[in-house]
This record gives sequence, structure tokens and C-alpha cells, in this order.
Amino acid sequence: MFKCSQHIYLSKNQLLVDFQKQLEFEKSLNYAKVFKGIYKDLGLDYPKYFKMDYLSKLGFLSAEVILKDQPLTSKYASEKIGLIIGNASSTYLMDSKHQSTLSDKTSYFPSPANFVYTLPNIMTGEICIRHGFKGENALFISQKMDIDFLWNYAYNLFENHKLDACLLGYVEVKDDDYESFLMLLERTEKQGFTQNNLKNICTTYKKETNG
Amino acid sequence: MNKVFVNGSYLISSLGFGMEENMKKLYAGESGSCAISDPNLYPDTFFASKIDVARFQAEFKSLFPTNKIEFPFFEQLLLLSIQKTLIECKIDFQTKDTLLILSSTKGNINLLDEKEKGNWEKDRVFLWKSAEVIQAFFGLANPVQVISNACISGVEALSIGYRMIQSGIYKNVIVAGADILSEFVVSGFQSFQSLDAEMCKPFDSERIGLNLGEAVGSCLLSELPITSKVHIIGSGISNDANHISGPSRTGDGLYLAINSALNEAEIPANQVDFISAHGTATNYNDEMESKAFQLAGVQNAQVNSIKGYWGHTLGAAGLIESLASIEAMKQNKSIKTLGYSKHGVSVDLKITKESKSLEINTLLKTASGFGGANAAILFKNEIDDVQM
Amino acid sequence: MDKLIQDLKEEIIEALNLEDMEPDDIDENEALFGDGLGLDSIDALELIVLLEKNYGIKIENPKDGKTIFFSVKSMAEYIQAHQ
Repeated sequence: MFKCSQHIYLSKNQLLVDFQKQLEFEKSLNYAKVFKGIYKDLGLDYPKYFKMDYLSKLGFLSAEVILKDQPLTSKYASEKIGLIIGNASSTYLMDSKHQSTLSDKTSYFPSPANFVYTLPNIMTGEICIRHGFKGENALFISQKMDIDFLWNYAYNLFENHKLDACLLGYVEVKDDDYESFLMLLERTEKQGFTQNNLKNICTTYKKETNG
Repeated sequence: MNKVFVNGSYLISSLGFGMEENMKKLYAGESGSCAISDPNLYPDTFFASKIDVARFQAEFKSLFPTNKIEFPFFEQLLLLSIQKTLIECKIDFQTKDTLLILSSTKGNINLLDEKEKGNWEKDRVFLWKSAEVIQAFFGLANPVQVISNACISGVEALSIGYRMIQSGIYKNVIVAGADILSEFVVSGFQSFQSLDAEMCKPFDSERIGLNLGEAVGSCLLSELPITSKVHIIGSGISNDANHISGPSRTGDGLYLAINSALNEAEIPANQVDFISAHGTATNYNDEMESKAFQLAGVQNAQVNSIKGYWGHTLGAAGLIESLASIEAMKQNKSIKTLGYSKHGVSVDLKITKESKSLEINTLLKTASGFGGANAAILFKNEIDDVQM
Repeated sequence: MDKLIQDLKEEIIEALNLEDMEPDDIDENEALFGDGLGLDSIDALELIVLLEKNYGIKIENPKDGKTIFFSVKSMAEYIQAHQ
């Protein structure tokens, strides 16, 4: 049904692509600096990036790593390219920031630019804008990546010809920690990528970055 | 492919409790929105739709008389609504073939507020935590799935449930959606200058913005027609890929979602009898929708927006508006667009001006939201070929 | 006026997260939206908040924003006229 063309994992200041280490940052570096380092390494010039919250930045960079050499819209109709992403803490950092502007009634200036980033699917929206994806997109909230469910959902969308390609994964930013796992799925005639393949990839990444 | 029926509808809005009370007021053209002066929600007066909390608490107590556990309001809403749906459908819901999907944008977000955070654990503000609590309460066998895709969440939850049953993985999917009014949300929309200080006016030339609302709704999607013969015949989700807060000017994103749903249903566009639009009454949304309906070729159907009755209920909106529109379809009635008087979008849509008898066999529900997301779902009222 | 323009440039860079931009990079006569700085509708809303927060000026009709926020200069002129 579909194959996995590439997968990436970004956590603990390491960026791995198809299990190979691509970039590594000092352990003590905070993610604001790490993300900026990746942005520079990718040679990006996308001013909108600097307006994004950290969840969007992480999703955006992860997608960029996969898609920089393979623009999908030249291969598939834009409405057949989608996103299926899991996340746990939604936009907690931005939520707290927005809430903090509400405590002082004498200086009450909630920021619209902040408020718009209090929705987790803005991250998927940013990726769609950047890469011209117009197909099915879903943002699921779960404490851990629900591999079975995400795979089943992707399978159904490919089977129903809603999608020919999609990014599937899990993008999470919480307090001082972050994790992003993203893969590109593309339609294929052959016996494709299974639920077990997906599980194995996730397990391998966790092991490698924890070791 | 299995048919997927929409059973056991229940909803609570500012209009009242349950389908019957809500439908009665919808047909009567009665709004639940009003001016609210509550410094806990916003420093100034604003116009919105609130659930009658005292009545809700009494209702909750009578439905769960032995319950001793406390829940935040958002979770209480879901528990009560889901329970009502389960009671009506009488299914064995603790089995492996039943799934619960929740749709919400902000869940227990009010718990971030110093005044409301009480003794709840820090994690309680997260939607996965609410999902965990609700799974435990009902003793569900599968992890609860939460979809949080801004204002399309409710329609998307129905779409996902439909697919999960179609694929044969589950026999029953309970879909429940809720969002509550909070200072967090009111202040945010206020900062976006997208609120009307009076009753919202969908598709009207004088429209200036939306009214917020709170609500919960639930239903049981099932391969069996348990309480209803209305079933889903197609759905589609799309993204504008244009801007994170402003809808596409051309309507091409929503058009793609409608087209995807029509293709799946294998019906021509002119077979759509009625459209329950998103119709938030913001300048850009309503104009965008009218263009999308024309692009998709469904512009000859009757169109309404229900937002004037119970406001924009965010993660619940797509779900409760689907449920009310399905109910109206079953009763062959139309609900008028409250707040609409002078046509104010560029496409000559047939906006419903009065609630009356109308034969509706095919219903289209659409939603669009922040992040550029769009959703469309088609329902059919099967009259002949289904045996109850 | 020059001081106000300089302050505004700094405030705009900060409020709108214009990374890697210096006040001198902004021409006060240049259009903020469209081809100029390339700001969008959310930035416009943010500028409305900025005027209220830093200068106590409330813009009641968002449509007025188009002329007020045409450039840094037009913003400065509006502030001077309304303070």
C-alpha cells in the first residue's frame, strides 16, 4: 500500500536521518539554540519561521529535513498529500504565555500573534503552507505515540485514495524537553510498510538516542 | 463496505439539554446567546452562549447518583453526554471493538487560571489526561483518541470514526466533543477582533464577527442502525496551505474537502439538498464558504448556519451542528439562519430565512478553522432499504 | 519625531519577532505590508495591541489600520496626532 521513503528522529540534541546521525549539539544547549542551529544548517531563509512557537518550529524543521531534496508537489497532486501527527502537550508553552497576559487587569494586553499559536494544528498548518500540502491532515493528542492507531488511520486514507503521500509522526515540546519523529509515506503497488516496521523504527530510535 | 449509522445523538448547549429541547428552540428561532458581564471570563461585557451550570450540576448528580469523584466541568460535560448516548444505544461498550474519539480544541484550559486551578494535578490541563480519566470512568478497553484540529475537530472526529468502522477495526465508535467558555479563549478571540458585541449575523451584509459558545455533544457511530437510519456516505479533510489564521480568499481549500466527500459518496453535487455551513459570521469565513460551495457545485442547496443560536462552540461545533442538522433531516424540516436578513456574500446562496417543512435526503456539513483546516461530511437519510 | 520613529522601529522588531533585523533595516517610508516588510493580518492585529499598550491609543475600527499602519512614518504621525 505504502512505503516509508525516509524517517527522521530529533531528540536530545541529536538529529538522525534513517538511523544515521546527521547533526549533534552539545547536551547542555537548550532547544531554542538547537532549533536555530538546525535552521542555519539547512540554509533556510524563511522569515515566518521566527514568528512560530517552538512546537511549530520543531514540526517545521523536521519536515524540512525530509522534504528539502524531494518536493512532493512535483510528484503528487497537492490534495493527495497530507499529515497525520501525534502530540501530547498541545501548545502548553504558548498557553501559559497567553494566560500570563490575563492576570493583571490594569495591564491587559493579550497578544493575537501568541493566541494563534495556542492551537496544536497550527504546526501542521505551517508545514502545509511551506510545502503546499492540501490533503487530509489530523492532529491527535496522546501521552505517547499511539503507533497502532496512527498507522491504521494512514492505511485507511491510502486505501480510500484520500492520500498518495503523507508525513506521519509525533512532534512534542514540553518544558525543557522535545522529541520529534517523522516519516514520509508514499503510495506503492508492492507489499509495503507494515505496522511492525513502524514499531521497530520507533524502538530503534529510542534505543539509539538513550544509549 | 460497511454502512456507518449515526445513533444516540445527545447535546447540551445554551439552548438546553438533549435533542428534543434543543430542536424545539432551534425551530422556534430562539437564541441562547446573550450579553455576559463576568469578570472571570472577560473584563468587559461580551456576547456569548453559556450552558446553565446549576441545571447541569443537578442533571449530573441525578445521572450519576453514587459518583463520589470530582471532575472539572469540561470532563463532566463529556461524561454526562457520553452516558446519555450509551443509555440510548444500549451497547456493550467495554469491548475491544468499541472506540471513543473526543474532539476539543482546549479541553480543561480554564485550569491554567490561578482562580480555577484548585487542587487539580498539573497534568489535568492536558487533553490526554482528560482522555485517560474518561477511559477509566467508563472502563473502556481501548485508549481514547483525541482529535484537536481547531474548529474542524467535531466534523473530523465523525470522519475518523466513520473510517475506523469502514475499515472493520471497530464496530462502534462513540464520538464526543466539547469546549467550554474560558477567559483564555474569550480574550484570545477578542484580541483577534473577531467577536461581534451583539448577536452574530451569518452570511449577512452587516456581519462583523462571531459569538463564542460552550457545548457538548455525542453520538454512537455503528455499523448497525440502532436508533437512526441516517448514515455517513463520504467525508473529506483538506488544508488551504495559505495562511494560519485567515481562510483562503478563493475557497479552494474547502472546495477540495467537499469534493473529496462527494467523490467518496459517488453522488453528483446537485444531489446535496441541504448544507449546514460553518457560518461563523466573520467577514472572511462566510465569503470563503460561499465561494467554496459554488466551486463544488452545491450552491443550489439550501444553506444555514446555526451559530446564531448557540454561538461558535469550537471543538464541539462541527459535531453538535451535524447532530442537530441530522435531526432536522429526519423530521424533514429546515432550521432558519438566525441573524441573517440581508444577503452579504458574493455568491447567491439559498440561505434559509425561515424554519419550515423541507424534504432533505442528503445533508452536507462543513467546517473550517485556524491552521487552514477544512472538513466536509455527507449524511444520507435512508428511507427504503434499511430494516431497523 | 525622529526619536518616536526610532522607538517604533525597535518596538515593531520586538513585537513581531522580526529576527535578524535592525532598526536601520526598516525604511520609515517603506510599506509595512505587501511588498515592503511583508507583514500579514496577524501582524496588523499585533500592531493594534502595540499602539494601545505602549501609547494608550485605541483603534476602534480595524479598517482604519490600513492607513495608520501604512509605514512607520504614518504610524508615528498618527501617534503624535492622537496623544
